[in-house]
Amino acid sequence: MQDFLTYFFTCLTLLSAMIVVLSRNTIHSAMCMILSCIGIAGLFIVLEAYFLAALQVLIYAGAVMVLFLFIIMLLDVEALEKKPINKKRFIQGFFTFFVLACMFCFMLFLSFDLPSIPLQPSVSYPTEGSNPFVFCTSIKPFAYTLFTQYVLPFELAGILLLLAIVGVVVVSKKYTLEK
Amino acid sequence: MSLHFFIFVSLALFLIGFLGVLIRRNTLVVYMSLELMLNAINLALVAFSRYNNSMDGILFVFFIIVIAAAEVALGLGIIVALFRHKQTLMVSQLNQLKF
Repeated sequence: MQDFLTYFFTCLTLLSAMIVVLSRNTIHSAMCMILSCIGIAGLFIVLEAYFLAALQVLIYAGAVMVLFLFIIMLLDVEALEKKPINKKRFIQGFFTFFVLACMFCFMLFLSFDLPSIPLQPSVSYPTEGSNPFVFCTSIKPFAYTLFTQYVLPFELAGILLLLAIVGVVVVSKKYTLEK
Repeated sequence: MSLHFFIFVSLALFLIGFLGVLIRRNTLVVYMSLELMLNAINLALVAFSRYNNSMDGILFVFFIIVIAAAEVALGLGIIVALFRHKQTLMVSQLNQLKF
């Protein structure tokens, strides 16, 4: 059952990603991007990171992609890319893609020979006296790690969100000439 | 499922996003492919975190999601301002900075 779910969410994610990249219609790309985000949330659930799967659906599929759809609606993009394709750029792009794909697949096949650690069963809460930062499936160890070991990035992420809000207000301001 | 499978899925997703950034001329689709690459990295991090029995990968993904959301908000603001100025979104026509 777990294998079937893994393969199902993998196929869902990869097929939706192909449609995002290759579709002529921008709305189709955005909707398939949402599907791809949900597929990745499914893979997070298979990997037993339940809180992250919920965050992925809420934030990525629920807020970021909805923002994309709003902007697509606002900007009234043309349906087809009517200008002829620049053949040289296209071939250069595909060539770079193939080179990178070969390099990464080669490195992946090299890694098959490395000794692998057996998969340990995941726990809900860390046992008494052991390392409190082991992989746990519930939220309380996540929050504990976030607020003890990673409290500085947490505060900086808050400041970064404030910067993003102020930046968006500044960028979208309309400037008018004063007589 | 072994770790190699999840690394392969993350790799395939990253390469698809990379292809989208190189090939497409619509700025919004380029931006969506960029988000696809970030999602691929999130998947790789969670897979490594699970197979090495550590919480660090999951928290890194948390921060990547936060930063990606902030970046999308700002980037789309810039794209809207650009559209207001130039009335086009095709990257082939946004070449004022070209030498």
